[in-house]
Amino acid sequence: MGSGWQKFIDDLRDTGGQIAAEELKDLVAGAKGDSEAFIKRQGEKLELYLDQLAAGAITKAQFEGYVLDIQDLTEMQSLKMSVSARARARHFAKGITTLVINGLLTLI
Amino acid sequence: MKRFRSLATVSLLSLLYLAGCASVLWPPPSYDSATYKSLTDLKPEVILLYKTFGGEELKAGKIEAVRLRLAQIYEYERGKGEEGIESVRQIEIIQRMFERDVKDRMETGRWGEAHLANQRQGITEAFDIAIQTERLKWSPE
Repeated sequence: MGSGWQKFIDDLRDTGGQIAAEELKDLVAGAKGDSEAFIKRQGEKLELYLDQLAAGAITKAQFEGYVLDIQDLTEMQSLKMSVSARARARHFAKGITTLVINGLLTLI
Repeated sequence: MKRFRSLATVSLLSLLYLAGCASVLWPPPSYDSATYKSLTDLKPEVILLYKTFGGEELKAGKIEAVRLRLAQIYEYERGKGEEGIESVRQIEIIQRMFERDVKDRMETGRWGEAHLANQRQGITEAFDIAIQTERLKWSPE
């Protein structure tokens, strides 16, 4: 998995195309190895799309659309993380009130 | 012992005050079962619609119905003010992805197998993130 698109990228470079092939390979490898499940999944998808593009299973325009999707999903994930942080802060504040102020401090 | 209690009380009250201030400035999100239901109901409808994009016939009525549902969810979330800002932005992104996909289908014709699978995965993931975001408000991870 992955060799098809890597050769495709290398071939583009050999024909004189301006492409940061090694950086692109590093980007995919780094994302696939990320500990965050979301990033890992996006890296796997990007590799799949590059493979499909290399094999001629999808068009350049379709590939472009998928990359925009990945960008959009990443923005959504970032919004989700913001909600998660605020929700955890509220949960903590509630715990302080219930368990510490109304609980522990009334006993000591 | 008394001094420790006083110090602990002051520290905890300060912490609570700060948390309270943050809540006033940026209210914490509240779980909304109506939002959760709207998103979980619409997700399979959109997936089914995408399945039809693999066929010859374009179901314009169903596309319009999804547009309307998304617009309704958007307005509902917008009505919550600052509290629902993340959900508003997420719905905007889903609308953008949906319109991009509809435009693609209308301009390039029926979707092939690989394209259909990729597009379905993209929109499914978008709905999943929005649904998980709503659930987080109820049960923070």
